[in-house]
Amino acid sequence: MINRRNVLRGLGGIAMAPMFMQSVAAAEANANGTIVVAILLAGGNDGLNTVVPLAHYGDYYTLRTPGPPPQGLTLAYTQADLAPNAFNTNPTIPPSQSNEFAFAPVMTDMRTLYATGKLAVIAGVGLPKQEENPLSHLNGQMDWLTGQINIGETPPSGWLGLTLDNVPPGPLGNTASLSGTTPLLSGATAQGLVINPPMDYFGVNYSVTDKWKTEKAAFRKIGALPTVSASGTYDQAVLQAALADMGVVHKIAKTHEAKTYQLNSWLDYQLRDIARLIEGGAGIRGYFAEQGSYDTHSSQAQYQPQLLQELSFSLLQFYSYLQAKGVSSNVVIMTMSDFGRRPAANLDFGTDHGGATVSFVLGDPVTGGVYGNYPSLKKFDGNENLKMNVDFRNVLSDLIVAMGGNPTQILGETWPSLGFI
Amino acid sequence: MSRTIRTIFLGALLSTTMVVPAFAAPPPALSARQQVQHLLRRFSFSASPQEVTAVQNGGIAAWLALQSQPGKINDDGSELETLPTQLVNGGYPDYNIFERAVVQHMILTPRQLQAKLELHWLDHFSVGLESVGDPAIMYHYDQVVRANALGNFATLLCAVANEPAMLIWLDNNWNVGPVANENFARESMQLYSTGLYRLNDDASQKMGANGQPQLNYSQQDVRQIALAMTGYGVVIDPNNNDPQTRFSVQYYTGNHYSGKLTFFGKTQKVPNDGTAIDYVMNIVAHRQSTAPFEVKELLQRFVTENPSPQFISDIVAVWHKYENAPDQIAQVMTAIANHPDFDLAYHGMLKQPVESVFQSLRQMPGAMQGTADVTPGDSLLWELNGLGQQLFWPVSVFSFYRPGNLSGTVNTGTALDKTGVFANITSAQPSNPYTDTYINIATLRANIGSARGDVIAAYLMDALLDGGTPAQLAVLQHYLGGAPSDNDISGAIWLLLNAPDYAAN
Repeated sequence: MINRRNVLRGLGGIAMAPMFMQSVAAAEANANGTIVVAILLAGGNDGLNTVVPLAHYGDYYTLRTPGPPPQGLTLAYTQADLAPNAFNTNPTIPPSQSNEFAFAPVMTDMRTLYATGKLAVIAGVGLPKQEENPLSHLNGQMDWLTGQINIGETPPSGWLGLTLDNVPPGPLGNTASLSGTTPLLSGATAQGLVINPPMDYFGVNYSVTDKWKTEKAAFRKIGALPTVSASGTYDQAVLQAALADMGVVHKIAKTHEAKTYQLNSWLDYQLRDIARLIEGGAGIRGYFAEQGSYDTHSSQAQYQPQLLQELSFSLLQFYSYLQAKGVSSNVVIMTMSDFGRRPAANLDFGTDHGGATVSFVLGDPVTGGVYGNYPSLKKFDGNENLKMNVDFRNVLSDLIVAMGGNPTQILGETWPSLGFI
Repeated sequence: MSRTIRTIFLGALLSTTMVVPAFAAPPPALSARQQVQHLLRRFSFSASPQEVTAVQNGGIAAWLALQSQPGKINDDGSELETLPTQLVNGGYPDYNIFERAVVQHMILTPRQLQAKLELHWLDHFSVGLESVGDPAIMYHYDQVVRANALGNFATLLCAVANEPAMLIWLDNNWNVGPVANENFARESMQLYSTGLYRLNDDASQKMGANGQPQLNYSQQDVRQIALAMTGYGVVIDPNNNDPQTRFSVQYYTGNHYSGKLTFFGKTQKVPNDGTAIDYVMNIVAHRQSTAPFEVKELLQRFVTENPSPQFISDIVAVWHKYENAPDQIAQVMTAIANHPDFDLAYHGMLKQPVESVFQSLRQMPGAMQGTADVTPGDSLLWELNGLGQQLFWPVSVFSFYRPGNLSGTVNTGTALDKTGVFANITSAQPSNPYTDTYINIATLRANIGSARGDVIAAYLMDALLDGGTPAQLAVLQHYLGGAPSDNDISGAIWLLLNAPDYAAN
C-alpha cells in the first residue's frame, strides 16, 4: 500500500504522527481566518490610465498626448468618457458629484464595486529605490511577490507563503495557485497546490489501453518506488502530493460546479475555481491568480482597456458570487503589478516602464476609499516617472496583519497601518 | 491522510529556492553507455538505443566534432511538409504549419546539437507569435536562429535583433525619436545579452560600496540606446503572395534620431545607414558581463541549474578565446561537454516539458525516426500547449521559465497534466486521424526483435531510464507479462514516461 506516509518514511522518516493528529482540529480552527486572493497584473499596469486624476486633467492630457498638433492622437480619455466612472475619496458620493478621480471608461464594474464601500484604491503605490533600478519586470514582480527589494536573481520565499507557514493547514494545505508555480506562495517549508483551470480536470489520465485499472495500479506502484536522482525525487514529491490532493479537489469540483459563473476571460476561469475552492471548504488561505499582458509599450489604447474591462468584470463577478454563497466575510482580494508606466506617452502611443501605480483591495473586511496620495503629474523622479507615495510593503504589511502574521518578521520592517483593512 | 503530512513531505523536498538540489556527493562513475545517454539527452533530444550504441562505438569526441559542423550532416527529410508559397484568400491555408515545421525538424533532424541550441536560443531570445501575428515571420525568425545557433554570439545577436519578428515583438518596429519606445533597448540588454547586474567571470555579482549589486546599465543608457536604434520598419509587400518572402525590414534615415547619443559613459557615433542596430548590439555583445551572463545561462540549460563558479569561469575563458571566431558557440559547447563537471550533472536537472515529449519520440522508434511515415502535426502542438511549452507561444518575455527555475515547470498541475499528454502519444494509432503524433509499436517490435515481455521490458528501461532500477524493472515486467500485446507495450511506455526518474534529464 503506497501512501504519503510510507513514501515519506522511505525518504527520511520524518516523524509525522503528532502533527497528523493535530491537523483536523487545526483545520477547523483555520476555517475563519482571513483568505487573501492575490492577483498579479503582469507586465506593469499603467495606473495613470486606470485611475485618472480628474483634478489634474490638464496635466494628464498633456502627458498622454505625445505628438505635437496637428497630429492630435492621444492616450488620454476625454472628460466626458470618464464622467460616468468618476469617484471621490468618499465612496458614497455618486459619479455625478465626483471630481477627484475616475476609473477608465471600461471599468464600470469597478465603479459599481467602489460604490459598495468595499473597494480600496491605493494610489501612488510602488517600489522604493526605483530611481536606482532599471525598471525590470523581473525585479518588479519579484519585489511584489516576495515583499523584498533589490533581491537580484534569487527567487526567495513569498510573503503570502511565509505568512501562512505557521497556520494549521486545511484539507488542501494553505496555498493554491491557479496560474502556475509562483514564489508568492513559497514559504519556509512548503510549496503549495497548483491547479491548471478548470479544476474539473485535475486528475490522472489512465486512458492508454482498455485496462485502466491495471495501468492505475502499476502507475501508483512505479511512481512510489525509490528514485535514482534528485530530480526524480523532486518530481515524485510533486506527483505524490498531486495524487493526495486529487480526491478532495474532485469532490469540491463535483459538489460546487458554479454552473452560472460566466467565463469570459482566463481570469474568470481562475477566479471561478478559487470561488469553488472557498465555497467547498478547501481551507486554503492564500490564492494566486494572474492576468496579463499589461506591458503596453505601443498601441496601449488597443490593449489596456480590454484588460481593465476583464479585470473589472472578473472582480465584480467573483465578489458577488462569494457574497451570494455566503462565504465572502473573510475574503480579501488584492491586485499588484510590476510597476506603473511612464506618465509621458511615447510616439508609439504606448508607455514605457515607469514608477508608481495603483493597487486595488476588495472584500467584506475592507474599508473602501482612496488611500495614499496620488503622485504629482508635474514633479517626477529622476527617470521622469511618477513618484511613489506608498511603499508596496505597506500594503502587504496590512494584509499580513489581517491574516494574523507578523509583518516585521516577514518584510523586515515595520509599517504603520494604511487603514484599509 | 492529513494535509500536514503533505505539507511537510513536500516542504522537505521543495525548498524555498525552488531549485532542485544537485547531488550532495558525486554520483557513481558513469558507464560508457550512461555517458553517451547523458550527452545525448543534454546535447540533443536524446536517441534510440540503436543510436546510443552507434555513438558509443564511434566515440563522443567524434559525435561532438560532427555535430559542431551541422553543414556536413545530411538534413534531407527533416521537415515532412511542403511549406506554402502562396497565400490563400489573403490568409494562410494552415496557421500552424510553420510552427509544425520547426517542431518536426527539431525531432527528426540528425543535426541534433544545432536543434538543441535552436531551442535554447528560441528560449533565450524569446519571441511570441501572439504579438508578431504572422506565422511566416516567426518561421523566418526560427530559420535565422537555427542558422546561427552554433556560430558567433555577436553575429547571432545582431541577426536576431534585425529580424522582423523581434522588431515587432519588442516594439522597435517604426520606433522614432525623440520620444522613443524603450522596450527593445531594455530587454535586449537585460534578457538577451549582458544582464541587469555587472558580473565577474564566474557570474557572481559585482557589489558596490553600498553592498548592493552594481547595475550593468542605467535608465539613461536604456533611453539613449532606444534612440540609437530608431529608424527601422517592417514592410509587407502587398503584391507578393509568398508568405515567406513578402516581408522585409526597411531603414528610414528620417526616422532615426539625429541628436547626440551618449551611453555606457561615452558619446557614440551611431551610423544613420541601417547598421544602427548592429552598432549597438556589437557593443553590448562584447561588454564584460556578457560572457558570464551567456555562459551561465548555457550551463543552466544544458548541464546544471547550479553551475559552480569554476565551471562558469572555465567556459568564460573559452568564450573569450573564440570571441571573434565564426564557430564560437560550437567551441564553447565542446568545452562544456569535455568539462569534468559535465558528467557530474548526470540526471541532475529536470527535463523541460518540450524535452520530455521530443525525447520520448526519439527514444521510441517509429513515428519520429525520420521515416516520414507520420507527420507530427497539430496534435503535437496541442500536447506541447498542454504542457505549457508550445514553442511559438512563450508566456512572456521571460520565455517559459527563467534559467535556474526549471523546477517551476513542475507542480501538482503539470504532474497530472503530463499523464494525459503521454496517454495521447502512447495510445494513438496510425489510423487515428485526430492524433497524428504517436509511438509506432509495430516498428518498436521490429527493433526489439523479440515478443518476450522480459526482453521488451529491458529494452524500454534502457531506452527511457538508462536501465533504471531492479525494482522499476520488476514492476514493468509484471505489467507486461510473458507475451505483451501492442496495447500492453503502449501502456508500459506510458508508465515509464510518467515514472519520476523520467523527469530527470
